[in-house]
Amino acid sequence: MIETDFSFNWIKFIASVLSYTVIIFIAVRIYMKQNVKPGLWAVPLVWIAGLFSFSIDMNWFDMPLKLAILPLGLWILYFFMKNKEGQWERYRSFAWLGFWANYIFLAMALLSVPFHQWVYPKEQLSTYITETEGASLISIHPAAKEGQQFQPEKFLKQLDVMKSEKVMNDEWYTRFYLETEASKRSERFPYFLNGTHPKRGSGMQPMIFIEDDRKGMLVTTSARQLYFRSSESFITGGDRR
Amino acid sequence: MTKKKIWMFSMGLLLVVSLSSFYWFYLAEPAAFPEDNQLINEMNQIFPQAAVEVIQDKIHADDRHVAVPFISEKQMYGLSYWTWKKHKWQVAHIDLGGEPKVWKVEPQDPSSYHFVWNISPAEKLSAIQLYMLRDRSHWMSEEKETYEPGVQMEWTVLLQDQPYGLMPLPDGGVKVLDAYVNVSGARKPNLFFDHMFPEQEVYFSWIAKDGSGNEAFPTSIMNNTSYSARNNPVDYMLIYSEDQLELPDRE
Repeated sequence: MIETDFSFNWIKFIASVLSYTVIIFIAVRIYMKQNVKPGLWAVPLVWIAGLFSFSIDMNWFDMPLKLAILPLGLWILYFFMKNKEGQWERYRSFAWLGFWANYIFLAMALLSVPFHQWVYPKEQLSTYITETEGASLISIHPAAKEGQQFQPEKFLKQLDVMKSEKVMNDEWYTRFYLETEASKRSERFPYFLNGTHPKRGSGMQPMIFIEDDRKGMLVTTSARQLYFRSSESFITGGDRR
Repeated sequence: MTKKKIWMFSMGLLLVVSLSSFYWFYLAEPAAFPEDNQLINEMNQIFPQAAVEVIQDKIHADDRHVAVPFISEKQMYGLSYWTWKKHKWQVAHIDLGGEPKVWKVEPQDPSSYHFVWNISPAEKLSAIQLYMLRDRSHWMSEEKETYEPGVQMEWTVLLQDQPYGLMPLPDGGVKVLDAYVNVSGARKPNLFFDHMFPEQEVYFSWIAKDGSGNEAFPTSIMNNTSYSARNNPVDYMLIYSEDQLELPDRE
């Protein structure tokens, strides 16, 4: 079921459905217009061959993009078809449609960026955590205290008012690093929060760490990292390590 | 007509043969695990240095993976790792040092990772402490800042109960490692990078404890004599000293 798969990227899915709709629409138009009809089964194959190109990989707003430069597939097709009377003429448009399809995909990907930002705002914590049922803390460092319990209700009350802050600060750096010898060093985020889910369909798989004072949350995704502070703790438990 | 029939027949035959050989080599249930003497013969044949004398146990990680602790003629305590592959029980790795190691049964799936060890009683160790670690790091650029928390998870095995053994990576470790795999997996959607294991920034190490609970360095069991088939799934663990650990409550 698509609904329960949290890593499924809805925006990406819609963008590719739209791309294919546009491509099929153009293909049908070309087919109708042409006087000498090509073989119907061959059209998709020629199209796929046309898609093949030399391309440059780029990154734009954390999104991997492909810029098609040389129509390699098209050249190969031409090489095989040029000798047969009229064959190239019949298939040429579909091969070119394959090459330009690279740009249809690219355009849809670019269009989906602001849309993605609108549905899944980058700077909001609720994009990264919406479901907390069954979430639990795992201690990842001896700095963690014993018997700590994550409280989903308390957390959900804080969710929308938690503030994004800079994770680095001099006070912390001095206390943790400069004033503590390596063998006694503590971890600022000694808990890993397991079992939360991001907003449905964002396709993200964030990793969440909780600060030792139990009021800070560090969110790491494949593209970025954010740090949020709450005024009240959303974790209960003693102070014993 | 007959030509067509022959063609159809041979296609059908090809299909049956390929399906049944696929079943035979990849899907068929494993055969019973070999007897002790058969294991000893096979090991001594591929890796004569092992000189296996006694098989101590056969410990199943799952129905296709078995660890076999053994004692050699020279009283070395070693381990061999067996995999049911291509319809045969095959040795993946043999080593003569019984110090703890990580057997990555399915390298991409942390829930299949196992700690394995076979500590010689001559060392008089009381316990081994196993660690999953990741170094803390932080960096800043003009608009971005990133902090990666340090990981130091610890599990203790009492050797009095288990002088040799196989222990699945505990659930907490699996969950944390899984999350790292997911985060870095999403970072590299490129097919060509799939064979690189992004969780490699996480590593394993261990500390030995003697009878009175003090730190020990049992050099004799840290023996590097080993045999590996291709794609060795067994990772060595560096021995650590207590000084290298971060303990906020030290002293």
